[in-house]
Formats: sequence, C-alpha cells, structure tokens
Amino acid sequence: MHDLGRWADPSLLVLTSLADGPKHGYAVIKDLEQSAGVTLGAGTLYAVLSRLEERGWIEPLAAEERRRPYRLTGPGAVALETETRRIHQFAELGLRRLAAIPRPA
Amino acid sequence: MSPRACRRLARVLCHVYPPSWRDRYSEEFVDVLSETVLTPRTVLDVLDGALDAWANPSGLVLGGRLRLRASVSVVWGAWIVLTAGALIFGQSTEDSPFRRADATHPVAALVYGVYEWCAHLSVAAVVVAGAPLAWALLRAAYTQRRRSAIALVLLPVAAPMAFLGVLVLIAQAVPRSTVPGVGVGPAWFAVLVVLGLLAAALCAAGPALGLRRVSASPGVLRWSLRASVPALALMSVSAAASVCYELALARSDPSFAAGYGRPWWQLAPYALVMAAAGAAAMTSIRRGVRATVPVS
Repeated sequence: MHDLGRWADPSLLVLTSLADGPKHGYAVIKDLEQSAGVTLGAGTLYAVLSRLEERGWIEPLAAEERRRPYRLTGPGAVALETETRRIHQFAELGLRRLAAIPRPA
Repeated sequence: MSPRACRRLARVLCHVYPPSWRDRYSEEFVDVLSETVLTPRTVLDVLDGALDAWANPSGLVLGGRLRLRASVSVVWGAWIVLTAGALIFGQSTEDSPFRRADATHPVAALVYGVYEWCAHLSVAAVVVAGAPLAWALLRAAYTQRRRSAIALVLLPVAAPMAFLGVLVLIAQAVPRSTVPGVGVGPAWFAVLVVLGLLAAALCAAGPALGLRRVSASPGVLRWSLRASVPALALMSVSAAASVCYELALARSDPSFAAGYGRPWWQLAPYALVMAAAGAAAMTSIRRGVRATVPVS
C-alpha cells in the first residue's frame, strides 16, 4: 500500500469503509465523516477509487441511477488486513514503550 | 445555492478531468460533488484530483489505440508550437546587431549556438520519429483511396513550402529598411508572423486529422510516440536557450538590450507558452506510454 504514495492514507480509509459493505461515493464520504472524523473531498475520493479499482482491490457494482456502489474484493481485504495489522503492531509497540516511561503521579 | 445550480457547477468542475476519465466516472463524480458543499477547499481538491488524473492516468480509463493516437497528435502539435516559437525567435534575432553583440559576449554566443544546434537536431529527430508513421498513413490512405487523408498527412510539408513561397515574394516585393535590425518593417513582419502561425496551425492539424481518417498500427504509433521524446527534449532545450539568450544579453549589455532586446512583457508570455507546450507534450507522452502497458 505504501507505493500509493500520498494516496495511501485515504486508500486505507476507503478500504476500511468498504469493509463494512458496498457503498457509493457519497456514502463513503459520509461514513468516514462519522466513523473517522475525516472529510474526503470528491477529487481525493475518485483519485483513490480509480487506483484501488485498477489494483483489483475494489470493484464497481451495477449503477443505481447515477450512483455506482463499490465493494471490497478478496485481494482488497488481504491488503487492508496486512496494513491494519502493521499499524496495530506499531501502535502496540508505541503503547508498550509509553508504558515503560515513568510518569509523574 | 439551489440543487440545480450545484449540479451545473459540478458538471463544469468535472470538465477539468481528462475526457477518458470523464467517460468512466463523470456521472457518479458529478453526483457526489453536487451533494457536497462547494467551498474553495473542495474546488482545490477537485483541481488536485484532475491534475493527478492527467499526470497519472488509470490504465482502466485509457483505450489503447485511441489514447496513442491522441498522444501522437498532442505531441506533434506541441512540437509545432515549440518550433514556431523558435522560428519567430530566430527571425527576430538574425540581424547583424545581434551577431555583433555575440562577438563581444561569449556566453550569449554560446547560448545562441545551443539554441541553433538543438533546433536543427530536433528537426532531424522529428523526421526520424514521424517518417514511419507518415509512410504508414500515406500507404493506408492510398490503398483506401482517401485523397483527403493523403493531403492532410502531406500538410506539414506543403504548408511550410507555401509559406516560404509567400516569404520570398514579400521579401522581393517589399524594400528592406536601411535601418539595421528593422528588415521589412514591423507591419510586414507582423503579416509574416500571422502567415507563419497559420502555416504552423495547418502543420499541426493535418496529421492529427489524417490520423482520424486512416488508422495506423499500435506498433507504429508507439514507435512515433517514444521516438518523439528526443525531438521534444531538444526543441524544449532550444526554446529555453532562446529565453536564456535574451536574458544573457540583457544582463551583460543593458545598452544593447535597451535598443534591441525584448521587454519582459514580450519575453514572459513567450516563455510561458513554450513551457506549457513542453509540459502538455510530456504529460501526453506519459499517458500514451501508460496506455500501452497492460494493467497487472
């Protein structure tokens, strides 16, 4: 996921949102606003969606009126799991080291 | 803002994206954008996304041969713009005061040499890049008996020859000024510039329209696109050298620059147009090359 460069962080957010089930673009934006407190712009969202689709990590479903939902694919789930485990391990390491620092009462 | 106005504005913003991207995403993108509160930040985000879509096109939205064809046309057009700029610069600095100034300013003379050599080498490189494609198009047009396509493909040869013919006629009919550096005078020079730009436009449009009438194989298109990189690079260096030449003369000999040099309001647009043509060509080459790479 690191080779996505500056799009890596928003890609992780979009994959996490789609892990909850298929969503169209606006639903992804709203979901991320509520769950992560992050507002993705439409330009960023579609730069990310096209990259994830090109990698086969998400796939479009049949359009509902003008809205096209996307769903997470198997390789996308693997990529999300790998990245979230890496972040989790790093967060645990940070917490362990923080716990070892003596703090004033 | 009413929902209808929002939707209209969203459609306008969508047009900053490449056509191939719009074919794939425009409906849903406009839908998302029209439901979003449009702020300056949203607009900047869209412009950033559009810039990314131009510079890093997704393999999903690029149609191989059509993309290659469009890239070849854009690169050819950009090379014509760069060449027209180089020619105008060459015409306006060919008079003897400039050559005398070169004799006393070795750096300016060196930069002028770079301008000339790069321009000449670029013309040779573009012939190497374009000849196989022109031959393929002419053969296909002849086989399919499409005379208009033959005429269009030959325009890059015919239009400059016609322009040179008019140039010779004007040079013979109009007496040259006795004032050094004035030549046929500003009015006739302006006429020649307009005619030259018209010839350049015909040169650029001919092959692009010819490519729409008869098709070339992806292999030939790909060769032309890749081989055009040295031609473009050389002409870009030539254009940059022409700007540097003016700056070098202005710095080393302010009195000469005051008499013959170009003011900044003439030099800056020239430099901007040259830079824009180079950037458009490089972006288009990148898009064309990416279109040929299969998506893994």
